[in-house]
Amino acid sequence: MFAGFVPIGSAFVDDFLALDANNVPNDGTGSPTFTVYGPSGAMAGGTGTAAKTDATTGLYRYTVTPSAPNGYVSGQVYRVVLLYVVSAVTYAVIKSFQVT
Amino acid sequence: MSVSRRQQGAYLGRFRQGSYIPLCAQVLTSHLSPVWPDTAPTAYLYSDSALVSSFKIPVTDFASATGLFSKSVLVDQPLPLGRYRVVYRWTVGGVAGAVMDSFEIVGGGDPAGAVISMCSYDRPEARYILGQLSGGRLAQGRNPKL
Repeated sequence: MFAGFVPIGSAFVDDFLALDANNVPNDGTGSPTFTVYGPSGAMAGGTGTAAKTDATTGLYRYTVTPSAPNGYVSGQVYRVVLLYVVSAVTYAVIKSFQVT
Repeated sequence: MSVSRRQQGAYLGRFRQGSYIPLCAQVLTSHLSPVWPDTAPTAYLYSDSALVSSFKIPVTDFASATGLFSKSVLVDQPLPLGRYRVVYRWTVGGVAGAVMDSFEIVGGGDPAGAVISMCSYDRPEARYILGQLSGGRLAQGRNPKL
């Protein structure tokens, strides 16, 4: 899912829903992790963990700050692969954003 | 590993002040079939920092569109510039479901909306203009301006 645009050097804040095998929101086990991928692979400093947005079950928030020193380029689209675990099954959510 | 994509919704686009955001939620069973929820879904609107508002979404077409709910939200003063996520939540037979969309409010436009009709009339002392705005307000102008 395309998640939006962000100026280079600014924080990109986004949320996602963690769902179980029946597509029911679930907080899962542990904290979801994410990795940002560019055209040449994983970005420097592009990993982290997501935290609960609020008390809403399954709703998590992550923040990425694309910066030039870490190789981000204006106009490029980057993908964020988020991983979370529910009942010992690992699920992935793929999102993307464009740096402006 | 399973890839969860459908419930992450869509990027609805960029909207200026005064435009309408077409929010839409298709309620689905756990097996992704359209279904009527226990009650109308609730939309929770999140900015980058907080929950901004929440409201119910009305049904779109009760006769022929099972589980489809939609609402157009006017972008006015309560929504400052920035990115937003809207999470639609419901229950079906007591089982929770949710889907999320996102959109962006950008600069430009007018919080009162666009002019959708206009008329003018001349008087001896001045020329007047009256406009109907999409946000529901009337706007008037006068030339020469006092």
